[in-house]
Amino acid sequence: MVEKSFLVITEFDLSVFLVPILPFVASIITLIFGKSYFKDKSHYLPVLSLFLSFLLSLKVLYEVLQGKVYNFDLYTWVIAGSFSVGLGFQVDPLSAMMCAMVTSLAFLIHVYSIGYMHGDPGYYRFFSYISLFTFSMLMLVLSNNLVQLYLGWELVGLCSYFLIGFWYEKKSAANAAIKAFVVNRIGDFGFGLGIFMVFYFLGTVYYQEIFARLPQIKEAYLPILGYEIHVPFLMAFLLFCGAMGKSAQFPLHVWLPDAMEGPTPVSALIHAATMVTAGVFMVSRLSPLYVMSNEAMALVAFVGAFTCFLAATIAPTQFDIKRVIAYSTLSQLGYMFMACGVGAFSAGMFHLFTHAYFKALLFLGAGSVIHAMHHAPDPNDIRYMGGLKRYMPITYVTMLIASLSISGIPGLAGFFSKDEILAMAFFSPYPWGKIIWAIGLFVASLTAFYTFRVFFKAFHGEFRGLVVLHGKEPHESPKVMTIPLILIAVGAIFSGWLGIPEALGGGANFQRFLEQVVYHTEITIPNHSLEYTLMVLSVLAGLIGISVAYIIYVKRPNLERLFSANFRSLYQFLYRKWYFDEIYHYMFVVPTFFLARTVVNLILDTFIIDHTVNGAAKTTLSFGTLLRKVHVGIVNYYLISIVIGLIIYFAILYYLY
Amino acid sequence: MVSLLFYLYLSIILFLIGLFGFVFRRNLIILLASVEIMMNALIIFFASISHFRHDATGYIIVFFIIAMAAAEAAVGLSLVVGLYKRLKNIYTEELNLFRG
Amino acid sequence: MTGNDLAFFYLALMMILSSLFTVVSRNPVHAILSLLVLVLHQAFMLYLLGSEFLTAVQIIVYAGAVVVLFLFVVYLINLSAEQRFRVFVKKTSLFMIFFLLFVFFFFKNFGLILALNPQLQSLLPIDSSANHLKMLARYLFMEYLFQFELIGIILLVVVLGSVFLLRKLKEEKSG
Repeated sequence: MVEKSFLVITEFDLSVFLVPILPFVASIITLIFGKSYFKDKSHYLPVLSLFLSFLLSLKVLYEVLQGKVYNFDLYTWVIAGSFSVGLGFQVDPLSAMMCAMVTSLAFLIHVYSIGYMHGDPGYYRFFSYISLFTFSMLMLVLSNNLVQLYLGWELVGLCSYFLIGFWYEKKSAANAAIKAFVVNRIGDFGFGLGIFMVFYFLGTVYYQEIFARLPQIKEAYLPILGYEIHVPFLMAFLLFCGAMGKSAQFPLHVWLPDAMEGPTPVSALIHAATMVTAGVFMVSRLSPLYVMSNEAMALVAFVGAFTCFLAATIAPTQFDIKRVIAYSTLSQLGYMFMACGVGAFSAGMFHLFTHAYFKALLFLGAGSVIHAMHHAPDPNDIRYMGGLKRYMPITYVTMLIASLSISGIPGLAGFFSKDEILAMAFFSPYPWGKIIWAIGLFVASLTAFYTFRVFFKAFHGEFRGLVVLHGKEPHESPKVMTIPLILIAVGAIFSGWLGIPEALGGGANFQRFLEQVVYHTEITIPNHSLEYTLMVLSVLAGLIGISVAYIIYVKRPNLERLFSANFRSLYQFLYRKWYFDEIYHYMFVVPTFFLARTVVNLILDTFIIDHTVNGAAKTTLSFGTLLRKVHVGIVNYYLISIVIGLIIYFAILYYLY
Repeated sequence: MVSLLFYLYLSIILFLIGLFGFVFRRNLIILLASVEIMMNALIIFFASISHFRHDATGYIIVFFIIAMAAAEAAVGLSLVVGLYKRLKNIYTEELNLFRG
Repeated sequence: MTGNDLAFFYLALMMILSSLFTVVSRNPVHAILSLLVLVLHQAFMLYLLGSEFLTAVQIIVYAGAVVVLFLFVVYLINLSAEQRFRVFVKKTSLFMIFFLLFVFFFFKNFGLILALNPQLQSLLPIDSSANHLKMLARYLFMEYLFQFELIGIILLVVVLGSVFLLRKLKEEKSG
């Protein structure tokens, strides 16, 4: 493919500017006036603004397809010496694609939320936050420098915190919000250091300048503790820390399953489709930096592969429908990082794109089910469901599409992107490509298994929830929820068709489009027959997973307990999520509390701070009691005190002359 | 012969009477009326100065004072009515909600 | 003693008496009515001071609006209770000490000002009422135009403010 030369536009462009700003304005207005004025009409403004910004982003995408690229600064934000950061926008194939994806999903999920959140006391708050989130995500995607990316990065983290803890009166939700926030901070600390380092070595934070100056540090080494560390590796590693936090990769993956405490539309938009993919986006954006260091690529690939495997093993043991999907998100994110780690950044982005649709669809379908089950003691528990096919036909069909898509059944979006990743891994020039491929193939069958486990348990068999629902039967969700489901289902089928690989007669247009800006390793495919073999293998893996799930959960339900009964300790190990929560609890939380309660609380607090503070308080109090007597609360006394003041003033005047 | 001083003394006397009422009365309406008396004293003061010094600035200030007095009376009286609506009381000594 | 002087003394006397009556009267209606007397005399005092325009303004605004507003409020609020209680605050003697002290220093300072500006006593009025209105208009609409507009805004704020102050509170609506 010949590199197309772009027409770079450096002037201010209103439509680019309006794409993120419209949701922001809607969010602020809704937040201020929502409580007392808009009330249950709070969704009008955010939905309208999201729709406009979706149209604008399509226009921008069209212009990018015509060969235009925007890169302009709105104004200079920070200047300190040689350090200068602008609030700028960069629209190129990568960000235009992300932009269209984010706004389309955000718009549909806003519409869905009208039905899902109906009657919630925090209705206006929800719409304000979710619009603010959309704004932050668009700022992240559209930025032309690392600092603005960091700004968006933190803002999406903040919105995620707000929305996970949306039902803050629930203790588990509040805890999950804090957990997500703190775990993300750990990653962001590394990310911040990475930005400092980029500035220190390259003297700029603008992407284009960074890429231009990268050759300078090709051979740079930094001595740390006696080791010479390759600078690009360290840079890539620190930046990847942020990606690990935001995209929930091992070892910072623990927050994402807990984040499912938030409302389901939030899980769909933030914790599946957009925010968690920010890490992948960032790695792709900075792909020229990552490919400079083989170690960094290996790190990305193996962290991705390990997370992928980890999550896929935990997911089949969970009973919370949203948690299962959350683990599946972890696992799919692992796929994306695997793709990045073998040099196929555009394949990773392609998977990101298709995954956004089918995963959002899975979540929204789950939300629809939860909506139907909301009278149950735990509406998320799949053990109460079953046989919902009869009651909720639309949800059933859309969930089926999403599940087939994620399992990699040919013709659906997930097939093309997952297959692309596996093929790229297999043919990658990096030595770890084959290992990654093997892990990916294995996880593909696991993915199909646990996805269909949920699907069969929820929609097939007998309905098990009659007792907890007191005999009431679940019903299909309102139109305002099912229509977005159908529209996203269309995306989950056809978004993959944008990038049909050459072996199947397509042109891999999506990847070619992105490769204009994203670095791509030359991956040569020796012959198509091998590729067909790989394709058949991955489809087979998916089919095996589905059929195993079908046998266990539909044909022979008594097999269900076989595994948990015979391999008790292994099952417990998986059910407890590899004991990561417990390990972190004893490694970090307990020592911190110990330190806080003994050293800080007993010694510092009681002896030094308390005495100082109490002394100040006591002094104030005694003055207060003295002055209290003057403060009688009767207007006339205040008036006479004005007169007394005048007397003093006149007396001074008189005796001065 | 009436000179400027006469007017000034009149103004001072009116002002002190207004101040007396302002400080001593306990009816909020009369308090506001006393403020009006003090305003009137000011009007005489400025008008007389202007008259005796052939300078229209004083008259302009009088004009503004009258406007401000109208505004002040409107706000003050609406406060009094609001107080009465909520507390059924307009006597300063009994409105001691702010007692420390 | 010219006619003007006689008029001045009559007006001054009436003003002092009516203002005193306002301050000490037990019945608020009487107090406000004597305030009306004060305001009307004051209007004619302004005529003596050479400004028939301000006389008109005084009568229209003060007598016509402000004092009537006071009367409305007095009628709105049932104040018969005060006739049985005392008029002045408690501890009148304490207040009196401070008040007299104030009066003392006030006059001392006034004397001081007079001593420093002896020309104040010798100033004489000149009849300049011929172009008075034109001059006033020039000042008001040219030199002080900004302040004039500002007064307009303040009055607007006052209108809104009084409506806002007297709106029904939420708890009053429900309860």
